[in-house]
Amino acid sequence: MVSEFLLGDNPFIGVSHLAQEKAREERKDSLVQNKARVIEAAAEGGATGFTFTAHPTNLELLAYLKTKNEPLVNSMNYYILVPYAQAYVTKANIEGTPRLMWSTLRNAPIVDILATILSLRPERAAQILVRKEILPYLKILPREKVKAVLLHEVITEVVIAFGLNEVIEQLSCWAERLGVGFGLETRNLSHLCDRIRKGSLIPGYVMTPLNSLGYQMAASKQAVEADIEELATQTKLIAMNILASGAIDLDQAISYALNYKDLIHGIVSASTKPARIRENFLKLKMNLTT
Amino acid sequence: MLISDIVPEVDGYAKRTEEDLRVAIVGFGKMGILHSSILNLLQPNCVRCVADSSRFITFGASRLFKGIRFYRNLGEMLEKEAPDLTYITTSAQSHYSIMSSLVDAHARSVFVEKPPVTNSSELESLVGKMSNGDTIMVGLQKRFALPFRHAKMLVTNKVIGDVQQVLAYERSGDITVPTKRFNSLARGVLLDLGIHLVDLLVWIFGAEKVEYCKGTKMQTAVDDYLEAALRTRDGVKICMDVTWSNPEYRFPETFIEARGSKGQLIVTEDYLKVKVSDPHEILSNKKDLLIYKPLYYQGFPPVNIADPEYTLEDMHFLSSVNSHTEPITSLRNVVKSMGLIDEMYAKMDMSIGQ
Repeated sequence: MVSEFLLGDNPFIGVSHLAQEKAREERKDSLVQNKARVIEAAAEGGATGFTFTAHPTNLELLAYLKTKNEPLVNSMNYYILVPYAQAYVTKANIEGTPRLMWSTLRNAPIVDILATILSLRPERAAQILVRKEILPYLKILPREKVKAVLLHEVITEVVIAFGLNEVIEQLSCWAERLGVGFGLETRNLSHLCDRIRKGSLIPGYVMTPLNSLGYQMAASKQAVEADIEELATQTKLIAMNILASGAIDLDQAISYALNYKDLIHGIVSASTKPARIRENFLKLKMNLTT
Repeated sequence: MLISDIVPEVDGYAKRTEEDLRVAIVGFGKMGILHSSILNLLQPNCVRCVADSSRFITFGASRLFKGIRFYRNLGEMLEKEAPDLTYITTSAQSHYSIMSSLVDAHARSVFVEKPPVTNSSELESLVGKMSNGDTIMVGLQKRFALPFRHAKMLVTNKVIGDVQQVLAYERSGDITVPTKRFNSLARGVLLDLGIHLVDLLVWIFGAEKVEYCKGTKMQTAVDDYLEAALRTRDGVKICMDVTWSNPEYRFPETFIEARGSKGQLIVTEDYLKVKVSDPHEILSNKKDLLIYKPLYYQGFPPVNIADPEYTLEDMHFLSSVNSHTEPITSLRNVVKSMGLIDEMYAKMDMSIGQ
């Protein structure tokens, strides 16, 4: 049975996998007050948490919400996606990749840089990157409510492609010391499962697209559906992009998700409209918790 | 419409993935990591070696990517590894010399990121050096985005009648702060980003002449914004603009609107919209069509990293090498696009703006 109903942040940061035109329009409506109202409406509809990228506007939003409605901030669970990849892609376009990597490391504490270089373990660089992005949020959010740090797909897919188990181990240990869970976000679930079958560490959480179209479900819709059955016994699965980026409606999404309601731990829904998000969570909760 | 109608490489690539394939990557930056990840997921462990001139990259990456051998010297890597396929994902200035070295070393299957070279004379020189059977494919991945492939099929079949006018743009917010990175290249957004749009306009509509071109410097010493008018071989006017300095565009976006004698078509990476005056067989005897991205990519392609067109592009390359056929974005097939870009730079009236 689904226990986490999570508000997603894509419309807040100008991301639409349906059309960029739509994302630009939504971003224009995205004043911090409007976004706070969406979070409140989601909670009214039964949302139990918020999953978001470590984008600067989300930090601003949560800081604002804490001043206006601290009980709400303290009541929700949080799943934070790191790093905020698009910022690094943009910097790489301007600076080039080697300079970007060097400048990112250069801004880290000297102890961390020395530890990375002297240990000859570049996987520690991932930890430096993640910690740098996550710490500002931990100052705002109650530590016990941060349920997991999720590695953004931009890094996850490289980790899967090359079997970089050390990166997952390093980040898992770091998250454990911090007292939060650790997980992966991926659009290549079947490839992740192949790695796990070959002995890779199983993350505590896996967030992945799950929709009736099979959009962003690789290696194929059938393969992902089969792998979910297997993976659900080993980790907590969070279904995202259940509306296939808006190509299907909520009723279709619920009808499909019902097949997996005993397998998935959480489900993500997003909107910039308070009324719509309240309605979405009311329907999701009514159908997936009974 | 079946996916296989517009993506024939779906079948062709799979044969190759059953073989023992050795891939080399030259340049392990953003694009090198992207392509090597896709390839390694299409065929596990096919990426065997990397050459990169940066000591920082090769040292750090060699500690992390333990199944790959790293080199700082391209010649040494080619000699020791003899790869089946070589991907060039370095900065644009180095493409010509690296491709020349690869052709001289008889590396027969090469993929090079866009832009393949900095000007047409370099391109002609390379094409002249290539032997029969050599394959060099250019990373113009927009030709592999299914909405554009579908649009090309509809225009070719005259679903909107004779094309009468085209409006197009390619916009991104990649360069919104001052940078000197492009000074040595002496060419800006048209070569780096606009090449996608120009190539699509050549491929779909047959663009071949430049009427005018105005460039504007905003964040760099080269063109950050430009607007131009082109003509097709049939005399159809194409109005276009290109920029990498528009902060409203979080991701690059390509937009093409074509008006024809029987209707109009709008296509971006995200959707295809068609409206015609009479029902058409190719539109299932309807007058309207609207397809969004998720409907094109249903459980497909088999690897999903960044945008799906990157995987389709790599599948197409594998398929072309496997079947000994010319890739649709081969070096020879982008001669017209590069020629048009040269002509636009030659005619560019440059100003300084904000």
